[in-house]
Amino acid sequence: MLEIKNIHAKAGDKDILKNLNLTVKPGEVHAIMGPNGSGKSTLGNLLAGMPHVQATEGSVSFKGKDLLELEPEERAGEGVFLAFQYPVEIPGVNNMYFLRTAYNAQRKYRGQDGIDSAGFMRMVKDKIKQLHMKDDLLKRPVNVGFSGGEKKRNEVFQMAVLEPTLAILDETDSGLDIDALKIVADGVNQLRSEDRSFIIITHYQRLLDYIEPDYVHVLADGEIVKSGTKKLALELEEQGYGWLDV
Amino acid sequence: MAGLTFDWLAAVNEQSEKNNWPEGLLNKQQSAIEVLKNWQAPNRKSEYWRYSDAGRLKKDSLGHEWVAVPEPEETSVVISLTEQGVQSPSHVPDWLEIKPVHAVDQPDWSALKATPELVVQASNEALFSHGVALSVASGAPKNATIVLRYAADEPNQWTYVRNIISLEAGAEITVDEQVVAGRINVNNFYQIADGAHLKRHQQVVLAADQQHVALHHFSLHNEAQVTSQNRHEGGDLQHHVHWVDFLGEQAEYKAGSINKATNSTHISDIVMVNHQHKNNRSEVIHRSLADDSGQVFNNAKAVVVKHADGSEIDQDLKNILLSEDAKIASKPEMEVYADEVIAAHGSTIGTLDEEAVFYLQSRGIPADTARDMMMVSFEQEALIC
Ligand SMILES: Nc1ncnc2c1ncn2[C@@H]1O[C@H](COP(=O)(O)OP(=O)(O)OP(=O)(O)O)[C@@H](O)[C@H]1O
Ligand SMILES: [Mg+2]
Repeated sequence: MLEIKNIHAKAGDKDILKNLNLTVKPGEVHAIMGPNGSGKSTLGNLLAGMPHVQATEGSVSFKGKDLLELEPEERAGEGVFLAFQYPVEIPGVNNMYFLRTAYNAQRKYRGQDGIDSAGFMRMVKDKIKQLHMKDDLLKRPVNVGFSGGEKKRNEVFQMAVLEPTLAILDETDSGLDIDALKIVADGVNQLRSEDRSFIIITHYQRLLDYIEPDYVHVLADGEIVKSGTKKLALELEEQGYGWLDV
Repeated sequence: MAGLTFDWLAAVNEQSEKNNWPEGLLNKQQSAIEVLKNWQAPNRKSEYWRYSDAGRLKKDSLGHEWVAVPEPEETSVVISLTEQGVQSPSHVPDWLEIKPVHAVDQPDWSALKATPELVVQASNEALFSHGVALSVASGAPKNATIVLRYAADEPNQWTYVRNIISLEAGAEITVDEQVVAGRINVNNFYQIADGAHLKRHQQVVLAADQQHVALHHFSLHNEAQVTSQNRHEGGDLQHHVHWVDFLGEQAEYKAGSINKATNSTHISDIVMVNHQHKNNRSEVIHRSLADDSGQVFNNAKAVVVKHADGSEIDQDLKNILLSEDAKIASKPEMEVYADEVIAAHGSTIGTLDEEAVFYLQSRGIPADTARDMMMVSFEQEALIC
C-alpha cells in the first residue's frame, strides 16, 4: 500500500527527515512515537502534500503511484487522509458544507456521481451518532471556537465520512478526555479493515490500549531508529527515549 | 494654476428638463459650477485619488456589458433611476412619501464645502439632474425594503443622481442600492432621526469597463442606528465615499465593506466619521481583495472633537493580495481631541491563508475551489447583516 524509501525531506529550509524507510501493507496499523521535534508531523505532512515540506531524496509510492507527484487533493482522492495535529480554523465556512464539498470532490476524482445535501445529511447522520458529535458543531464554521478535543473529534468525524484507505492520525489523542479517547479509538476500529491502513502518531501508549497496533516505530532525529511490537510502546512509556541512545 | 482641467459639463449626459425647478436650486447649481471651475481636477496629488487613476473618468466609451443583478423581491418598493429620470411604483405604501429631489429643501451639507478631495463627488451638486426624496414614517413595517436601482442606458456620459432618504423618529427600514447599468455619479443623503434604524445594502458589481462614483452622507440623531453593508466588485473604476456625522448622542454607525478588484479595477473605499458629540459609536470593517493588476484603496478615518467623550471607534481593515501586480493601500486614521475615547484600529495586508487552503485540499477539494472558499471565508468577516 505505502512504501517510503530512503526519504530525506525539508520543512521550510530545515532538513528534518533523514533516510526514513517505512512499508505499510493493507490492513496494518503502524504507531509512530518519538521525542518532540523528531519529525513525526513532518512525515504526516509530507504524505499529505503540505507545500512547505519537500522531499530532497528518496521515494514514496502509494498503491503503485508516485505519491510525491500528486497534488494534495489528488492524494485525498487516492485515499490518503491526515488528521492534523493542529486542525485549521476556517471562519465563515460551514463544517457540513465543507465536508460535503470534500466528499463530492473525492467522488468526482474517482469518477463517481456527487450527492445532494439531503442525501449527504442522511449518510452522515449515523456517523454523527457513532462519534457522539454534537450536532451544532456541524452547523458551525470549520473548527472555529471548537475546544481542543472537539477539533480532534471533528478530524475523526471527517475520517469516518471520507473513509480513506490510508489514514494518518497525528496526535489525535492529545488533549482528549478518557471518553473522547474511546470514541476516537472506536472511530478508528470501526474503519479497520483488510484494505485500510493507519499510521498513528502518538506520545502515549494509552491510545494503543484501544487501538491495537501491528507495529510500533520510534522516530528520532528524522529517522526510524527502532521498530517493534506493542511491547515497545510499553517500554517507551516506562523508560522514555534515553535508553535508545538517540 | 488650478482650473477646469476636467470638463465636467462636457462629460455629462443631457440634463433632463429643469424648468420646473425652483429658482433657488438652479442658482445653487450655477454657483456650484462656478466653484468647480476653480477646483483642481482629481489627480494623484490628492489623497483620495492617489491610488486610483482619475484619468479614467474621462474615458469616452465604456461599452454595453453589465453584470446581471437579480430582480428585486415583489414585496419591496422599487425605484429606478435612469438617465431620463425616476420611475416610482404606481402604488406607494402609506408609510412612504416619494417626491422628486428638486421639490424638497436641499440638505445643507455640501461636499463643496467639506474638502477639495471630494471634487468628483461634489460635481454632483452642480450637475445632478434627478433623484428622489424619500420620507419613511415610523409606521413602516420592520421588514420593509426600498430598492434603489441605478439603471441608465447611456454608457458613455455620466448620469448625475441625487437622493435624499429621511427616516422619521423610530422608523426602521432596509434600503438596497443596486447598480444595474449606467455610468453613475450619485450623492445620497441619509437623514436618520432619533431612534431610527437604517439597514442599508449597497451592491456595485461591475463588468470590466464600467465606472461608478458615489458619496453617501449619513446624519445620525440621538440613538439612531445605521447598519451598512457594501459590496464593491470589479469594473474599471469605483470611487466610494461614506461620510458620517453624528448630530446627537448614543447613536451607532456600523459598516462592512467587501472590495474586490480584478483585472485592472481601481476601487477606493473611503469612510469619514465625525464624532462631533459624546457617546456615539462607529465601527468600520473592510475586507478587500486585489487580483491581477487590480488596486484597492481603503481609508477609514474618524475625527473625535474635543469634549466628544465616550466616543467609541473601531476600524478593522484587512486585505489580501492575490497576485504580484495587485496593489492595496490601507489606511486607518484617527484624530482624537477628546479625553475619554475607546478606540481600536487594525490594518493588515497579506496573502490567502495557505495553511487553510492546504487543509481544504487535503480533504480532496481542488486548489481553485479551496482558494475560492478561503476568499468567501475572508469576506464573511465583513458581513454584518
Ligand atoms: N516550516 C518549517 N520551517 C522550519 N522548521 C520547521 C518547519 N516546520 C517544522 N519545523 C521543525 O521541524 C522539526 C520537526 O517538527 P515536527 O513538527 O515534525 O516534529 P514532531 O515530531 O511532530 O514534534 P511534536 O511531538 O512536538 O509534535 C521541529 O524542530 C520543527 O521546529
Ligand atoms: Mg507533531
